[in-house]
Amino acid sequence: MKRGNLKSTVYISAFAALMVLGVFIRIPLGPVPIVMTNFFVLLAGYLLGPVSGSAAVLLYLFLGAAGLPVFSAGGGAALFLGPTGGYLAGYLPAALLTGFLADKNRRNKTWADILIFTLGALIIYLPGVLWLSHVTGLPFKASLQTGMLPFLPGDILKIAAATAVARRLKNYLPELFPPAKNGRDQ
Amino acid sequence: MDRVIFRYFPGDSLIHRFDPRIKLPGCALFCYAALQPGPRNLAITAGALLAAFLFARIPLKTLLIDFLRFVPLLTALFLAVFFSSDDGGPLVPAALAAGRFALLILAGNLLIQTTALSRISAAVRWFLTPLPRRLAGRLGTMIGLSVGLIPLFFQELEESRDALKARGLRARKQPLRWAVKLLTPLLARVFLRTEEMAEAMEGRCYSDERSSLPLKAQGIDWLFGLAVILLVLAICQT
Repeated sequence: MKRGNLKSTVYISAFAALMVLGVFIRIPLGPVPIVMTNFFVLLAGYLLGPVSGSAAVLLYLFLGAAGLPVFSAGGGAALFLGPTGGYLAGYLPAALLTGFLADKNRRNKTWADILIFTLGALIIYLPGVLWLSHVTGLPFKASLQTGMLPFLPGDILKIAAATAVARRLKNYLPELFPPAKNGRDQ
Repeated sequence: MDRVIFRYFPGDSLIHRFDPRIKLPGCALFCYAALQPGPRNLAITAGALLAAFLFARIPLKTLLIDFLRFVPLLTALFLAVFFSSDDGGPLVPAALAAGRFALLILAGNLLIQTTALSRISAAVRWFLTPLPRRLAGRLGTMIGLSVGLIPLFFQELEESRDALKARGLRARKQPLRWAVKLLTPLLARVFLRTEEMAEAMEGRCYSDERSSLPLKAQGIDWLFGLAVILLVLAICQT
C-alpha cells in the first residue's frame, strides 16, 4: 500500500502497539496458553509490506529493550541475551519475509497466503532455536524438542487465523489494504 | 477505564518529576539488576522498587489491576521452572524466576505510569540526536504514538472480548473461531481509528521536524541516576 510518510508512521506505531496487545490475547491450547504477538508480527509484514512491517517490529523490540513490559517475559535489553532472545530477533526476518512474499502474491490466492504465513512463522524458530541451544547448552535436537515442537499446534492456529483475518480485512477495508501491484512500501 | 493498562497517572511526586533522559536508562539498568540471580539481589531490587512506588503514590488498586494481568504468565513461568529444576529443591528457583520477572513488569509499569508520553518522546528524540533530525523526530513520534495507542487498543480488545463472551463463544472450546471473531472486528476498528488519527495529524500539519518538549536535568535527577548505578554495581559485585 502506498502511503504518505505520516500515514506510514502512524501505521507502524499502531502495529507496534498491536504486538504489545498480542501478549494479552491468550488462547488456551494445550498445557501452555499461546500468545498472539507473532500473529501481529506476521500480519504487519503482510499488510504493511516488508519495510514498514519490519520497522513496526523494530519499534516493538526497541520499546521492550527500553524496559517497557511489552514482551511476554516482561521487558529490558537483558531479555535479548536470555534463552528467548533468538525468538525476539526472529520477528524481524519473519516480518520481512512475509511482506516480501505477500508482495509477490499478486493473484491473491488463499493457499499462497497460508504458505506465506507458514514460512513467516517457521523462520522465527531459526534464530530462536539456535540461540536457545547456544544459551542453554542443549544439543540442537533437544532445543528443537523444547523450543519448537510444543509450540507448533499454536502456530497452526495462528497461521489459520492470520490467513482468515488478513483476507477478511482486505475485503472489509479495500481502500486501506488494496492488493499489491508494485510493492506497498514507499 | 479501570481495566486499561499502560496508563499515565498525572502527579507531582519525585518519581514523576525525574528527567526522563535519566529515568529511561535507569529503568533499563534496574531491569538488568533485577535479572541477576540470588535471593539477596531479588530482595534488594524489590525493596528499591517498593520505595519507588511509595514515592510515586500510584493508587494501589491500579497497581494490582495492572499486575493481575501478568499473573497467568508468572504462574506458567513458575510451573515451567518448578518442573524443570533439579538442584536445591524446585520451589526456590521457581519462586526466584517468577519474582525476577514480576520485578521487570512492575518496573516497566512504574515508568509508564509516572512519565507523560510527551516527555518519553522528548527523551527518545534527545537520545537520537546523533541521527538526522528528521529521522530522530520520526522515531520519537512513533514511540510516543505506540505507547499512547496501547491503552486505546486494549480498551477495544476488552470490549470485543466481552462481546464474544456475551454471545457464548469461548476460546477454550473453539479457539480458531474465537480468534477470527475477536481479531477481525478488533483490527478493522483499530485501522479505522489509525486512519482517522493520521488524517487528524495531517490536518494539523504535523511534521517530523517539530520542536520537542524542553527537558532540564537538575541535581536530584543526577542523584537518582547515581543511586541506580550504585544499586547495579552493588548487585553485580556480589
